[in-house]
Amino acid sequence: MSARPMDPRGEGVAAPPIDSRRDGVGAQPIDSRGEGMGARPIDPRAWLLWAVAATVPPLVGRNPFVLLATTLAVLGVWAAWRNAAAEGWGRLLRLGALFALVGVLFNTLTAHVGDRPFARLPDAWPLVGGPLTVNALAYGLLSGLAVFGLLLVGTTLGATLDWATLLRLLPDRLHAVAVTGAVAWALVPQTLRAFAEVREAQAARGHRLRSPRDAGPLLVPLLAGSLERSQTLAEALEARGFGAPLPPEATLGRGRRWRGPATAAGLTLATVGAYGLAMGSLAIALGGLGLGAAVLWAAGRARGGGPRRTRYREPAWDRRAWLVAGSAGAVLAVELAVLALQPAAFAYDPYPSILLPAVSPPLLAAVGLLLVPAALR
Amino acid sequence: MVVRDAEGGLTYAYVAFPEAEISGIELLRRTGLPLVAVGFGGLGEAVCSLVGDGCPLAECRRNVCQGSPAAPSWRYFRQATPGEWQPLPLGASGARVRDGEIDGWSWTAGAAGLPSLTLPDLARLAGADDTGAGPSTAAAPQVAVRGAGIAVTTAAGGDPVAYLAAAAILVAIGGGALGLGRRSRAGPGAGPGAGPERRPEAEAEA
Repeated sequence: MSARPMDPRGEGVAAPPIDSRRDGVGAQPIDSRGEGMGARPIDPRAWLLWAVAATVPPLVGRNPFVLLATTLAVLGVWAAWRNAAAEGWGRLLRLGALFALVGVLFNTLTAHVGDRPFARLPDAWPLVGGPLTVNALAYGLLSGLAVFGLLLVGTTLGATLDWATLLRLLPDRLHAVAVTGAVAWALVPQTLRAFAEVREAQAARGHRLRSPRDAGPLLVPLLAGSLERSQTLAEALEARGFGAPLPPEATLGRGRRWRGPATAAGLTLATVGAYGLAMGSLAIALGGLGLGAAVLWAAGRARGGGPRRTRYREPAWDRRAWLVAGSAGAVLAVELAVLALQPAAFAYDPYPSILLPAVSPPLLAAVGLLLVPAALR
Repeated sequence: MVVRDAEGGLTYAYVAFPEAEISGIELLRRTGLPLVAVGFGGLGEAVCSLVGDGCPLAECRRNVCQGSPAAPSWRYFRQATPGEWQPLPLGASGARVRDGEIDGWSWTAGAAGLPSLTLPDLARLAGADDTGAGPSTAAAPQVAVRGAGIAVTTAAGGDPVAYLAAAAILVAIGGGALGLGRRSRAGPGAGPGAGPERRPEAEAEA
């Protein structure tokens, strides 16, 4: 059973209101100089660029070569950078693998398409009745690999990203959005970790989960704990002035009124662009992301007379950040070029016949560069 | 049956069946043309891809290949009189095909664009005369198909050297991932707290 940290006298010490390290929001398990417990962190901007480059292949296609190369590279980075903060994300990863397997089963049972049947369920059975094909199984496996790859990128980012530095790097106008996003990002691993702790504690009391009725002793403390943590988090944010109304001079005046709507419009456009990328529409993706970035840049430039956030220490963009950002930028450039010139290199459809997928060695070699952060650990 | 693909190429199929009537989708299946159809429960099946034209299954499940009203999709027609192609809005699963009827499939957003045909014309164009297709039995259904769609059934594999290179790259990436992962576990960077085993709780319990 896990316990709360004890002080040297053996007395219980209450956990800090917001344990930023264990929540994945805030600092890494390193000291403020970026040394000591484990490797020095890499600038979060470089990590974000790496994540974008690693996310493109599973989003835009189902080519098994590209998916496998991306997943292997990201697995390498995950294995190299895994740390104590990654524990909660690891549970999420296992849950994601389970969902991917369910997806494989669902596709095999419901997509009765393809030229290679291996079994048949009675036609009278709704939805699942009909031939089961190797084609559907193959497509389900590829989709599962894509989902697992995306989740792996997210968990790697969640475990390695220095959220505190990232929040400091963002423009003042985006600070509230970034804090909210960081809290939301940490919700799932935090809940999974809390669930594991509750289960451990109840098991020590002799509780066994044998039927759905036994879930009560697990879910009730989980819900109560979640509410308590939310309350603590809200108090901590309130104490730091989060969401406090700005003074009138910060909200009135020329050019200041439109900054809020412009920020919202920029974020919306960027989201539409990301959706376009996910749907494989390059025009919408480039248009949305480009326009969104331009609007956000313009909104961020217009400074008002409101509170100005200052930094004690500027984050350092060192050689390793250059290496990660440079390699990720190269991967992204090759991916976009291949998407524009040879989109079949990303695609694969096992319907109606299973044929050999298209292959692009230059694209695979470029995807291999996603391993660079693993070499910098 | 006649199929008009995205490039306007025509494929003719002459299918003899012993039953009094079959469904339109069953007729399409019996032609043996490359087909991807997805079921929508009681609404029947929708054609996603035929003779290589169409959209991936995932998109077909979302919008039946119709990203916009002006986008083409596989539409189902029946020839009422030679040259008069009428759309069948109930779909191929609901429509029944009887002896002598001519069905048409067209990758279009509007008009059918199918040619005027009579049954003897269709039999000749599909090569039914050459194959001797005639009255069919359940044991030996007779099918004759000719046209642009036949060439789609097999696709070229690709350059073996490219596949070998791809395999080598995958092995290199996998080996690199394994080696770098192990190195970070065992190397100087794997100090206290770096490994997954170093949980703060475990330290507290110790």
